Amino acid sequence: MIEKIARNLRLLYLVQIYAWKTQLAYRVQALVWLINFVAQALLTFVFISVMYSVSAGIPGWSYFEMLLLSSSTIMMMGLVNYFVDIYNIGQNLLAGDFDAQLARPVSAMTIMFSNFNGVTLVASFLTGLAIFAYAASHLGLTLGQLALFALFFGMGTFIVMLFLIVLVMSSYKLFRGGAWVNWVTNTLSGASKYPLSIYGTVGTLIFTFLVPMGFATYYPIEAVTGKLSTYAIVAVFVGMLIFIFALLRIFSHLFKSYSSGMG
Amino acid sequence: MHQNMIGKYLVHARFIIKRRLAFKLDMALLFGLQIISPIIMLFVWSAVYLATQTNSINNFTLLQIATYFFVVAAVNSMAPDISWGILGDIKTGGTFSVMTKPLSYLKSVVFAGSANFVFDAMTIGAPILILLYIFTGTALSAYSFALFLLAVLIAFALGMMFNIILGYLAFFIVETAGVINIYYFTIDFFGGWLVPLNLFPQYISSITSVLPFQFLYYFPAAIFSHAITSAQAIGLLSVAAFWLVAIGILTWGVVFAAKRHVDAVGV
Repeated sequence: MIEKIARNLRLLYLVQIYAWKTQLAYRVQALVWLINFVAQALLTFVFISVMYSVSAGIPGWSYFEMLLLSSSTIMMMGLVNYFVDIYNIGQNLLAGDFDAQLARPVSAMTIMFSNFNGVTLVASFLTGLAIFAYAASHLGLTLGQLALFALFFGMGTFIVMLFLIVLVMSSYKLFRGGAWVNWVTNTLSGASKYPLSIYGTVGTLIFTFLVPMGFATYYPIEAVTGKLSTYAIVAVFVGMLIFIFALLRIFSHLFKSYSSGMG
Repeated sequence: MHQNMIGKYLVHARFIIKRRLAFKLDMALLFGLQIISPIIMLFVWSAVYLATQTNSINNFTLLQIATYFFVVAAVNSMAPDISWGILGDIKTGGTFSVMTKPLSYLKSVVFAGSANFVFDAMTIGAPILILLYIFTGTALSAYSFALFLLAVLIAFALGMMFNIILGYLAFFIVETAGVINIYYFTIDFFGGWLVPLNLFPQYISSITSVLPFQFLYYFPAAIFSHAITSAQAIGLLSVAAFWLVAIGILTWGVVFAAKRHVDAVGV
């Protein structure tokens, strides 16, 4: 069991090393992309700062709480886009390029997470983390609160990753295409930078169950800023476990139906 | 003779429109994607106005700010996006294959961009504005509407020239994808896509007011949402004229210099 885990982690590590070496072979290009991702992440910071400078902001959410929420979305999307390359996965499904990868003695999930190429997206995550740290220090979050956030954020981000993989695999299986998944995800991620409560009950349900981005951002922030009762925190935790279990089952089912090129 | 010279590019443009018409699901999806952002902004700003308990923030009512973001989405849907195509052509030698035909590469990409502009205006831009009128009743006088159309054309012309410059930069620095993305960040920030420029602090809005990027989103959206008066819009037209000429000269210079770098196998 331990040997199996180590083998999977080793492959992920080697893929990282190779991807970074490839990227750093073109240093100027890598630098331009890094600047680009930092700048894109800062746009949200600017937007919220402008909003709170000209108004009272969003009801029930202070400036720093909003920064926590929006920066966690930036971090989440940075990690998701880093590890889940929807375009690559789609192309591999169409061309049957998973054949060679299946020969490796690693799990199907490891294969999915090792199909990426945008390593400079780490800049997006790190910029989000810097904004998060800035806001967290102003709010005086304790280590316990940060640990709770890290647990919920990690589980929530994993849910979003699984959700996208399942979505893109289903799309390619049904329609032989899935570029729309990327467009829709990036557009909808904009919505999760703000409290789900502003979208009303229907919006909250959509971003919790239909597009589960709320698990990675909204609920973790609500939990650490005291907006959720202990009962609700436990309910969210259980809900996330159920989601992970269900998505893993669907993924396993879809991957078993992979039948090489055009499969 | 002149008609014949343009005719071959019109055939190309017609082909592009026919090809896009073939992908009806893409059309619906692009429309949906363009309309999501302003809907999110509508929810966000509705909450903000509710919390602030005011009818006006920096002279913007909620209706005006909502109108602003929907018009920005409409203008954004029509914005030229040819730099990626030029970049690909230059890297793979596609520019040379066009030159083997009796065609000018630059004219062919300009006509292709114009065809996409017309198509997007009819299938996304105009429907968004019609929906806006139906739901909000926002209407313009004939004079203001003419100014708005002129602003849209200025946005298109400037966007087209920026795209040509960015695409042709590949002749000199090969990989311009990152630079193109930085351009999009710049116009999002300084062009008024993020927030109306007059919501920025004074020191930032004084910078944005002299840059050309304001004409890409802010200018047409501000006219349509009545954030600026017709007299102010006329005043801004002289600034737009200056930038059209300046960037036109820059575009010509870049294209002229790039022609010396053309070869058959890409750069």
